[in-house]
Amino acid sequence: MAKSVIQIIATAIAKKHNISIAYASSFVEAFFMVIGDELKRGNQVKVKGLGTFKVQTVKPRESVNVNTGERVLIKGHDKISFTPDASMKELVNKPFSQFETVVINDNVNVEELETLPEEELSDTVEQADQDFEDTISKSSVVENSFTAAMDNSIDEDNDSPNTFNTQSVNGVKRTQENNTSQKEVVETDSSIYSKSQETLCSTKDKYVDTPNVTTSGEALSDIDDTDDDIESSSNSILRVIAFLAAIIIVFLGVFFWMKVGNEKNNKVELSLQQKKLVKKDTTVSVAKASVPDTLKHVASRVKKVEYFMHMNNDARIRYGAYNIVGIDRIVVLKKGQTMAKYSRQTLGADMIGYFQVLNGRNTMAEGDTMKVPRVELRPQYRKK
Amino acid sequence: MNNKEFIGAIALKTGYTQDESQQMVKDVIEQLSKYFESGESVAVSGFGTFEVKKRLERVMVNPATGLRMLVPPKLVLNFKPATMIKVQVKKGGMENG
Repeated sequence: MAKSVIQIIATAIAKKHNISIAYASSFVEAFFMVIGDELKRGNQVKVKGLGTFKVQTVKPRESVNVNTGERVLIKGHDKISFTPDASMKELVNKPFSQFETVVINDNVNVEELETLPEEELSDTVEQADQDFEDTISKSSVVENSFTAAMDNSIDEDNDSPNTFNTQSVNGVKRTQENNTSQKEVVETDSSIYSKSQETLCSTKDKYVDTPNVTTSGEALSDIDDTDDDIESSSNSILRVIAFLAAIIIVFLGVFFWMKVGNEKNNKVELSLQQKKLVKKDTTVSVAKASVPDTLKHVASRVKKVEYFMHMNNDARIRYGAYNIVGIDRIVVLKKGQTMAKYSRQTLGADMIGYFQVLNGRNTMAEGDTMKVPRVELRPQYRKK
Repeated sequence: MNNKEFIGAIALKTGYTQDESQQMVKDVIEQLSKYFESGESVAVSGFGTFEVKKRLERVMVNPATGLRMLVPPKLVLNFKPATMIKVQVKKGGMENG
């Protein structure tokens, strides 16, 4: 029922003013339509409590077509801009309201700070702020720590991503710790933030706040430690969890590596078998008869032969003149080589389909490892 | 178009009185604010999307004093107009010159 945001707003209005949901919904629609209509006429619209919608002209500018690289002229046009008014700005910024801009003192290394990207993040804040709000509410010394942080030089030790709140929360604890334990604490805290960081940050942000974290740590020896106990217990739990997660990941890695190792063995044996095969026939009996083997190897070979047969049913090559009977070789594409070019050079024009089906990919470029198919002419096309 | 005119236009369009419209507009904004406060974005089909975005902290030089300042991170409200409106404004702009 209350599907879109508009509907939800409309139902709330309807309840409040005792009107039908239909009327409320048309009111909300009208709200936005009036703004839109006025903007279409080129006039700005000021809505008290929300902000101002303006139409601004954009000058024509030169740019480059990303695909072709040729210069392109973007014509002059208009854009709709929105500036929230003061009350709305405050409301939206509530989680960060305690911060204020401060002067940087002389002995702070500003180069690291200056590598921060100027532009906004690509994602919205939706999930992230729960973490922020929790940690902010915990710490009573946020503002102090922020100011104090600027009073110290930066420690190079730390390379885990972090934000302001981390330092304000951690700062309280990190009074007399040495560098190594600082790193531990920060890394655990970064796991609190890893969730929020992922939702918020693009890769650009790995520059964020590295210096700030440790500066606050060193700075806060004179800040009161009342929050100490509360912080340390939750932090140690997180530390344990992070440690366990790391162990699990290591195990998974080893497990997969072994698995891949086994698969590789099978494929190598198979290609050896394929080379021994004289006939083009890919039936099971031929595969079995060619080489005396253990049951296991036969079974795997049989499976592989059927696998190639199955590939020949792929839509791309079902109506071709050839069957894939195996892998001829495996190559790594050099610079300037692509799957298309290679296929043309080796098997001929229009044979890329066999490559695509064998590799399960449509294109490949320099550096990719490609299986080159071994094909045989289908019986019906053989010379009569 | 200032706020008064806006309310007037809404009243005209919806048939409610100016006072009623004003109150209802206030409520609509209140409802929108609830979403923004929690960091959620609001999409209005045919109009656009309001998003809450985080601005990272940045180093800036105070032009008045010449001192280097650190601006803390903040959350801002962003509006992305929908294509429908964008093209209509585009045309309008070129007409108005």
